[in-house]
Amino acid sequence: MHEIITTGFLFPNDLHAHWSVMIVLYPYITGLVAGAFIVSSLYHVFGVKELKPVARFSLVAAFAFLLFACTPLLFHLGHPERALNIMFTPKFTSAMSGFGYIYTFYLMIVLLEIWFVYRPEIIRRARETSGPLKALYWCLALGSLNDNENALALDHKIITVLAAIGIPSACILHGYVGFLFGSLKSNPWWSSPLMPVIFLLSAIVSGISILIVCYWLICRFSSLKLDTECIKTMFKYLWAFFIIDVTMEGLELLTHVYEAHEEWHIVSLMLSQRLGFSFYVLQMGICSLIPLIVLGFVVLKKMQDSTRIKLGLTCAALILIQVLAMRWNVIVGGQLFSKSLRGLTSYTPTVLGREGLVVALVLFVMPFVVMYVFNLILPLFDKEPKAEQQ
Amino acid sequence: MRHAADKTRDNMKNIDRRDFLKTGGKLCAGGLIVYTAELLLPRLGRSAKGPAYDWEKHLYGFVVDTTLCIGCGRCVKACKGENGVPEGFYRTWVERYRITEHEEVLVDSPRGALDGFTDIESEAKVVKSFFVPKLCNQCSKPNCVQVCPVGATYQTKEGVVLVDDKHCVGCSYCVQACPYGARYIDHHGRGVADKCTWCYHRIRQGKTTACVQVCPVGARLFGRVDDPEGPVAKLLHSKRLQVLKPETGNEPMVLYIGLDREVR
Amino acid sequence: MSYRSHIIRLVMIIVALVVVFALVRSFLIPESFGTYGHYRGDNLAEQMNMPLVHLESAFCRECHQEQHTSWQGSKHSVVNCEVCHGHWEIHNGNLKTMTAVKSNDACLLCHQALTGRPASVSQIKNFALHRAEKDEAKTGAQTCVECHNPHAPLETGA
Repeated sequence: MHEIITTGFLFPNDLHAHWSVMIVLYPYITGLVAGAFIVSSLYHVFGVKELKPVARFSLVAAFAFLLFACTPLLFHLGHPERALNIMFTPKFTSAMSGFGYIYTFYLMIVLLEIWFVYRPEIIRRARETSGPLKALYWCLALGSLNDNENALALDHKIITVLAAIGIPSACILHGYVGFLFGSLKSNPWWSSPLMPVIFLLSAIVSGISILIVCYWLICRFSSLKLDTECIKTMFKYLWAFFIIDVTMEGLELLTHVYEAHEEWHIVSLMLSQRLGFSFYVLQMGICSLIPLIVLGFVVLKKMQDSTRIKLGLTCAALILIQVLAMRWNVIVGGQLFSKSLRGLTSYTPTVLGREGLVVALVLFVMPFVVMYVFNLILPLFDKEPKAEQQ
Repeated sequence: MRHAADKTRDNMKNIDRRDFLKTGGKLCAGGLIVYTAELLLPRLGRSAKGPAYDWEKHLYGFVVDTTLCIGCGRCVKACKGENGVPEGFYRTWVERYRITEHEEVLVDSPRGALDGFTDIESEAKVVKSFFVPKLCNQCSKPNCVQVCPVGATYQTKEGVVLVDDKHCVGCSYCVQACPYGARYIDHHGRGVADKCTWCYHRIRQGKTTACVQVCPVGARLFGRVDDPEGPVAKLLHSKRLQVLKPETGNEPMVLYIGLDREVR
Repeated sequence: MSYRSHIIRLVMIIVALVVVFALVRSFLIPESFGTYGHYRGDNLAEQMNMPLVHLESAFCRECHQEQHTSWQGSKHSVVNCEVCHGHWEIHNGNLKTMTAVKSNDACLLCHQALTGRPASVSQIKNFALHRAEKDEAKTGAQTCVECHNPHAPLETGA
């Protein structure tokens, strides 16, 4: 048990922050899912042709993150062996109950969309390989190697429908997490109608950012050629969503400061004494202002593509940090002051242990392993854009 | 002849496949309807291990008179003994407020007042001081029950909010939701949410709660609010009472006499 | 027709999974869940039937009539037997294991003069001062109980 530092008076049961780094990781991962899915849907539903090179990859990224989204929660629960209670006896008055069925539903949507998008590739490989690989692809195709015009046309329609259903589903999957915090009247740092909006917007920007970073890294370390129009379009959408995101976060803080409710005294003390660096320096300062301004230049100003990409990439990395800091500041921050409104406690994540930093890091890295394994079976990117069948 | 036989065979295949699909489809649709119904409708008429008395005819309330409390902490000790409350967590506790001549408010609750209080030397002169016992408010509209994702915490018809320790998954949402800090989870212990139950096992036998029984000055009072002759209802109908954090809308059922503006 | 075959297979797999899950759920969901509301009905009985640790002082009267009568007529009738003598559980079944708290700390928990402590309980500043004031016979008592019978605290017989 790590030492906690308390100041002032806390209710005797308020000493410990129950929602640890695992709970910070959960919305971060589902956020990446939502953002990656939005990019994919921008292509499949809204017809943003420039995003075609990353359309498939973003779907697979969304899926990989989704697979591991629930793992931090399982490490946190007091009784993870009872985790299925959320599927057996969900209580729908609770925002958290949405986790069971909404998560499963959305996982199915993404999985189905991936299947339909990759079907032509699966069928082609089923035909061209032999032995155990052929069996694998045959199973993946569910034993049906239809790729005639009618089948593909039907697939295309279904993909559009799935992507369209997927957008509100992604919004609900991430919005409910924000609502989980925003609807809690007992915690004045969380309670706000803006919370679901802020969570969703920061989810989108983190998702776009992770795709930018991954795409650049993959192109850098493999033979894949970076499509500059694609990455420039991602910068554009990133900037647009980020402007709205920062505005909402600023509005939230401004409302707290301006209205100066009863809790503002202890909350401002908490922010300066416990979250000074992560809140004022990282979230509101460096990692908001720099990307906000620099992305503006990246999108609007005339410059060399190589410079543009370097600047945009840096901004994407800063935004990834900003969103993580925001999750930390909201979730941990809300637990650092007592309901007595008279005291502060502290939280330091352990390095080892069930809810420690090592586990958090491993869980965060696992989706990338999944993507790597996926690529061994089905390609994340088209090598030859001209051979595209869709 | 062969053509006809082939055709018949093909037709038979088609019919079989069609029938199979039709029946299969019907079965699946039926299964889905049953499942959805099960999920949405409450299970009726199962398990007869119900309450032996008419729980709709017992609505309970609690009164705390802070003007009487001497801060001895016996209530905290009795509760720990009666309910096996783990070390470092509290189902009830007593807070001490000391207001100095400079309007400074000093609040403390050493180990929840398990071993009472001792006088602390303070630089400034204390002009006003009092004790405030706290416990679960057993709210009429408990938002802790509202946020439980699995239905592990619930409200009985008598107004007592309980936690099913065999169903709780330990997500801590209810602990976060409680505006009064009345709930806790011992992650190194049982890993389930816990809180004051108004000694449900005692009150169902017509006894009073452990903390009320042990209080030497009668600062705590438990009883039925729906019995106009009972002591709680009498106070309810005569004295001016307050609750903690009324702005939450939870409608707490622990009523206070002598609450000061400094008490949260 | 054949161009839809992969869809049909997909739908059947999904439906099969849903049905299997529904079956698994109906086996694993607790029996009494939903009887009285969205919770496990059996828990009510579990909570009701938890063993009592403290009993009422009236119960002690059965064996300890003399002490009980004396106690009931005294100022300490507001202090239950179990406060000084431990829960019934400790005593239960073994008539020899009855404890009795005799330390000054126990008495001072209520009787120590504290800022904010209402005058309804008689309070002393500390033991030495109180003895100096009250112990006219100069007994040199070290504990409260040497002068004050806990069952009749005001009959100091000095």
